[in-house]
Amino acid sequence: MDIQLKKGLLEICVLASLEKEESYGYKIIDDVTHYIDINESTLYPILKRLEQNGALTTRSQEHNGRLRKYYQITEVGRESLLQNIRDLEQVNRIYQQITGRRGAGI
Amino acid sequence: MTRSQWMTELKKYLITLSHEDLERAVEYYNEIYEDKNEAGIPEKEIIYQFGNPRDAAKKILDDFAGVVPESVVAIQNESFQTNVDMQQQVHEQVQPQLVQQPQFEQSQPQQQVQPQSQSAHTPKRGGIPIWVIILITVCITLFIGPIIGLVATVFALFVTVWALVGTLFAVAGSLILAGLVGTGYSIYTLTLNAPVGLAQLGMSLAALGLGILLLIVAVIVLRLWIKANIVLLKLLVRFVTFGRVKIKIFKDKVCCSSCSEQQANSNQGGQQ
Repeated sequence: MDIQLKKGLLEICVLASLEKEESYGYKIIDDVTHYIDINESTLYPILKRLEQNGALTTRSQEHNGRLRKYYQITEVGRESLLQNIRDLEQVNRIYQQITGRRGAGI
Repeated sequence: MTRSQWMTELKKYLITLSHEDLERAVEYYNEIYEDKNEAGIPEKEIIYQFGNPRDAAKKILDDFAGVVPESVVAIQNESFQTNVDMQQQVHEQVQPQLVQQPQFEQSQPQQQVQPQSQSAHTPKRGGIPIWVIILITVCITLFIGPIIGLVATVFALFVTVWALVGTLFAVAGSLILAGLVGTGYSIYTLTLNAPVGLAQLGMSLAALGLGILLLIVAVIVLRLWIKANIVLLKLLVRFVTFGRVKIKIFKDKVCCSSCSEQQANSNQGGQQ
């Protein structure tokens, strides 16, 4: 997949995984990896960016004698997610158009 | 590689970061390590999943560098125009940064990841990686002496052969001239002293004959040498153009990934 496209999609996926409830690093990877290729190295800059842009906040909580960082989506993050979903719907329409036309044309 | 080895390597590559940023990155990986370990994944597998610490570090560093490709800026401008509702203000703040991305895919251990040349913020060297520049500079400095020597030698050889050809003509010419003069003089001597005159005539005619022969040889040699020059010149031109083509191919090959990213980005920018 095109690199830029993938990076954009990953941000959306991460926000989507945080939409219902807060999450932490490994869990985000575990959730998202089902539908798009992601690992800890790609996730880290995304989380950092989202936090910088105010799309999510973090807090640390103790878990099994160690500190775990939890991420929560913000209003800003929700707005952005909504917009991105609308964009994806448009992408989907374009996709339908292109593949539909190709199917009929040939 | 063990966990502590991996972490040490990561810290090594992140040495340019501030202490705070470095610690945060290490904490992140440690946390994920612990969670994966808790989930039952063995150390070796986790380290394998983490991949090369160098690549992981590069992703983090590149993100700090914050390079923005031109095409992404174009997408940002596009999305400004398509949003009309009240949430526009929020999106203008959030979306541009959300769309911005560093453009490095996680690379295989052997692959080199190249910097993009069309960056809005950070000017790059036209897509040529630094190691190529260093290599070329070293080669030039090392070999400049011998190269000049070689070029000079080849040029000297050329000049020498031309001089030899010239000499042939000169010798031929002088023999002919001597022969002609001698013939004239010997005819005069003949009237005075027949045997001496005859001997002189003989020598003069011999010189003349030799001179003419040598002239013929010189002309043949000159023709051949001129032909050779033309062939060599053609070869030289072909070599230079071939060299230029090779350099271009090498440049394309080496900048391949950044070039194809550029193309993909310009396509994306166009489609949006």
